[in-house]
Amino acid sequence: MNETKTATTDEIPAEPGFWRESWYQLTRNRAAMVGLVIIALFAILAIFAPLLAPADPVVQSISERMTPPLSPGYLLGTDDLGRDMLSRIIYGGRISLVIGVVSVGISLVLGGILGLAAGYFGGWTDRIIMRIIDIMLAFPYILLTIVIVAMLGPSLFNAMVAIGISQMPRYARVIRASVISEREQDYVLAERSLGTSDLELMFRTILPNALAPTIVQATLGVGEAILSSAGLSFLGLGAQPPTPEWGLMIASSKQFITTAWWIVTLPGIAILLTVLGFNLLGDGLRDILDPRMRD
Amino acid sequence: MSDNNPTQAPLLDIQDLQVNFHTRRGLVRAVRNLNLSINEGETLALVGESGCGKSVTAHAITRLVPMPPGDIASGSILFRGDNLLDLSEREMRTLRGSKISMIFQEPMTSLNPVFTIGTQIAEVFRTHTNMGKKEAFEKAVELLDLVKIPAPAKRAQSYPHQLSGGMRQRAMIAMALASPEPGLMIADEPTTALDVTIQAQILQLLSELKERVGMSILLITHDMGVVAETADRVAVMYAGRKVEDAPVEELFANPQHPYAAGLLGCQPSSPQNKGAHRLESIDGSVPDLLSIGEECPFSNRCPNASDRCRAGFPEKSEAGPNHAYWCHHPISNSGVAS
Amino acid sequence: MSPTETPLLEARGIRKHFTINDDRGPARTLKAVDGVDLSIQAGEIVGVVGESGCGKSILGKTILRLYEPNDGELLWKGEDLTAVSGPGLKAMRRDMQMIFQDPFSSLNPRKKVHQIISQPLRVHKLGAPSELTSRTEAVMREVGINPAYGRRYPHQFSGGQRQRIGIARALALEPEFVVCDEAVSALDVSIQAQILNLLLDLRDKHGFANLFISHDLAVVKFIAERIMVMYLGRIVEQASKNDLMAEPLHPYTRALLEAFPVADPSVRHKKKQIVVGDVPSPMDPPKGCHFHPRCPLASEKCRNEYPPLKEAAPGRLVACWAVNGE
Repeated sequence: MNETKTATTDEIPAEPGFWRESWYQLTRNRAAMVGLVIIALFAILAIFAPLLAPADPVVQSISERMTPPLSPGYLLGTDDLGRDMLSRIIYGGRISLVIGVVSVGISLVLGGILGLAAGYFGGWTDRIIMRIIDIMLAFPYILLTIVIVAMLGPSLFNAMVAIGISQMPRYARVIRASVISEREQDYVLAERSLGTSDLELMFRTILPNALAPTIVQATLGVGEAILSSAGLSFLGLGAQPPTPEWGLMIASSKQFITTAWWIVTLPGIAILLTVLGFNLLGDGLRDILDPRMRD
Repeated sequence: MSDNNPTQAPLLDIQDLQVNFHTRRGLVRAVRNLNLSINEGETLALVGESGCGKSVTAHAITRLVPMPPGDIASGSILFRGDNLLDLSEREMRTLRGSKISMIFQEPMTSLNPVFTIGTQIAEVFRTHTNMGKKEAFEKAVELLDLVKIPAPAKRAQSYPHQLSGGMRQRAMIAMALASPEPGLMIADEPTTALDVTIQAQILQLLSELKERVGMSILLITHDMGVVAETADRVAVMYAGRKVEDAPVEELFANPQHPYAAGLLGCQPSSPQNKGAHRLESIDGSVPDLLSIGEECPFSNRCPNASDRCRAGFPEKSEAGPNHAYWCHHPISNSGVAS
Repeated sequence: MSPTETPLLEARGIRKHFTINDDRGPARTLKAVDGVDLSIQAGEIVGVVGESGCGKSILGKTILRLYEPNDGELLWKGEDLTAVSGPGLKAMRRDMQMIFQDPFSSLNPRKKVHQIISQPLRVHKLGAPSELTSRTEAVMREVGINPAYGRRYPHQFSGGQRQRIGIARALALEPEFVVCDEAVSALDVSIQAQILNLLLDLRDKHGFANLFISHDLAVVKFIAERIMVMYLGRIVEQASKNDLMAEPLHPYTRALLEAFPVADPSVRHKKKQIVVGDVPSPMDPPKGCHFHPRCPLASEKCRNEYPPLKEAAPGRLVACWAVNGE
C-alpha cells in the first residue's frame, strides 16, 4: 500500500529540435533555397576573392579600356579605366557583404539593447525609449541615413554606421515585442523566483528566446543595407574611388550607359542578385519561423 | 427518430478503422483496428490519456483528419448504414452540422468572432431549410432558451467574446441542436476548459437535451468523473487501441484491463482512494507511437505483462454481456478484492 | 496546530489589486486578492481551492513576492517580509520556492536540463562546480529523472518528466516552503498520480511546508491537511480536510462539492442541487457577499454587507451570514 512508485522509464520522445525542424522546413522551401544558394555563391566569391579574381581590381590598363565582355582575358570586359570588371565585381561583393553584415550587426546591438530594456522594464523606460524610436521612424529612412553620413563625413565605415543607426528602430520594436511576450512566460517567473538578477534574466534568460523573430528582419535587413550603401556610394557619400564598390561603380560610369552598357549594368545585376538572395531567404524564414504557419 | 428501439442497427458503426499519420520521423499509427458502435440514444464515452487516439477517431468520423499527413488507411464508418468514408466532400459537408454535430473544448475557436451568436445559429437553420432570416433568428432565440441562456433574446445579439466560457459552450450546443435532425453529437472534451460549477451545469444540460431531442452523444474525455456522471457505455483507448468496452457501471465495478483499472485507481476522487496516503499509480508514461509494433502497447507499463503480451496484441475476450476487453492477463474478480 | 507556536509563514490582510487600462472607459481595479489571512506551520500542506478568477494563483505569487502586495503583512517565522528588498529578498527566495502549472512554459526552452536544475545553486553561489554537478545529479535522481539526460533540452521530455524537472529545480535549494500552483493540472491522470505521490514522498523526506493551489477539489482533498476555499479574491471557508469534507459550511463550498464529478457511476442519481449562474467577473464583483447572486440562502443582509471570516466551530472559519448569524 505504502510502496511508492515514483520511478520513470527512460523513454524519451525524440521530438526534433526547433532549429533542426526549421532547417528541414527551409530545405523544402524552394525560393528560400534559391536565395541561400545565391548568398552562398557570393559569400564564397567574397571569401576567396584573392584566389578567384583573375586580376587586381584597381590596376588600370588604359590601352584595354572598355573591352566588351567575353573578350580574351576579360570574361566580363573592362571599365572606362581598363580595370577588369570580373575582379571588381568579385571584390565588390566582399565590400557589400561586409557592409550588410556590419550594418545589421550595429542595428541589432543598438536595437537589441533598447528593445530589451524597453520590453523588460516597461513603464517610463519603455515610454521614453519608444517615443525616441517613433521619432526616428518618422524620418524617411534614406533621408535619415544621408543626414547621419553628412554629419560624420563621407566614408564607407560611416555609411555602415549611418545605415546601422537608421535601421535600428525596427529591431528595437521587434525585440521589444518579443521580450514583452517572453517576459510573461512562466519560465521567466520561475527563474526570477530562484533569485536570479535582472541582468541575468534579461540577457541570459529572455534574450536568447526573444531573438528568433529578428532573424527574418535581419536577413531582409542585410539586403536592404547593401542597397542603401550602394545608393550612398552612388551619391558620393559612401565608398570613395577607387574602391570597387558596386554602387560607386555604377555612379562613376553612368555616362557610358549608351556606349559601354556592361560597365553600368553588371554591378547593377550583382546588387540585384545579392539583394534578391537575401529577400528570398528572409521571406522563406518568415514563413518557417512564424508560429502561425506551424501546427 | 422517436420510435427507436434498442434492437435496431447501431446509429454509428465503426469497423476496423485505421488512421495513420505520415510524419518525417515515420509512420504514426494513431488509431489501429478500431471497432466502435454507438446505439440510438446512447452516450458513449471514449476515454484515454493524451495521444491515445480518441480525438483522431472523432476527426475520422467527421472526416476532418488533415490529409496529408493523415491517412484513413482502412475500415468503414457506417452512419445509419451509409459508409461516411465513401461520401463526397460535398455530401460530407451537408452531413456535418446536420446529422453529425461537434462541440469542442474551446468554443471560442469554433465560433466566428465577427457575427452575433444569434446570427450564427440562424445561419445553421438557413443552410438546412429554406427559412427566412427573421424566422431563423427567432428559432435561434428559442434554442438559446432551450440551452438555458438567461435573457436569450438579448444574448442572441451578443458577440462570442461578450459571453463567458460556459455561455459560449451553451451557444455551441444550441448551434449543434439547430440542425433539422440531430443524430449524433460529438463532444470533444466539452467541459475541460470550464469551472467545476459550470461543468456540472453543462453536463446536466447535455443529459437533459439528449432525452429531449433523442440524440446520441460520443463524449470524448480524459476525466473519469465526467464519464461516471454522464456515460451509458465506455470505451477505453490506449496508444491507438481500444482495450476495453463496457457499460459504465460494469467498467467501474469490474474493470478487466490493467490500464482501465489503473486509470480508475489513480483518480483522486475514486472511492478506493478514500483515506489513502498515496494514490494508485501507473508507472512510466505512454510510449512513443512510432516505436509500437504489434505488441500490446501497455506491456511496458503493465504489472502483469509477459512475453505473450510483447509478442502480439490479444484477441477480444468477453467478461459478460456487452463487456469486452483485449488483454492476455485480465484482472479477475478475485484480484480486485485484495 | 497549537496557537503558541510561531507559524512558518503568516499573511495578514494581503491585498493585490491590478489597475486595468484598456481602451474602453476609465481605468478599473481588479481586486485579485482582497484581504486574505493565512498561516502555515512548518511541514504542513495547506490546499487552496477555487474556480478561475478567484485569485488563488495571484495569492500564491504574492506570498512569494513575485507580485508586490498592495497592502498587508507577510511574516516569515515572525519576521516581516514585505519590507525586505535586494539581498534580503534574494536570501528569502532560497527558502521559498514555487512549482508551476505548465511544464511546457515553465522551463526555459534554450537551457539544458542540468543548467535549469543547477541554476538556483549557481544563483545563490552554493558550492564549487563539481559540487554543483553532484548535487544536481542527486536532485535529479530524487525526482526520478535519469541524470544521464541532463544534457537534453526540456522539449525532449514528456509532460510528466518536465514537471519532475520543475520540482527538482524548486527543491534544489532545500526550501522550507513551496507553493504548488496547479502543479498537476496540465498532466494526464496517470502521470498526475505519480507526481502527487512524488510530492508527498519528498515532503515526508524533507519536511517542507506546501501551499497547494488547485481548481481540482479531488486533488486538494487528497493531498492537503487543511483547506481554504477562495471565491472572488477572498477566503470564504477554512477548515481541516476532514471537517470540510464531512460537513461543508459555506454554501459555496457545498456547491463545489456537489458539482464535482465523482468517479463512481453508482452515486450519479444521488445528486442534489447544482448551483446556478456564472462566476461573476472579478473586475466587477457583486455587492455585499460576492456569492449572494448564486446562493440559495441569500438574504437582504447578504446583498448589502460582506460577511466577516469568523470562527464557526473550533478550527473552522466561515464567511457567511447564514452560518454565523449576527
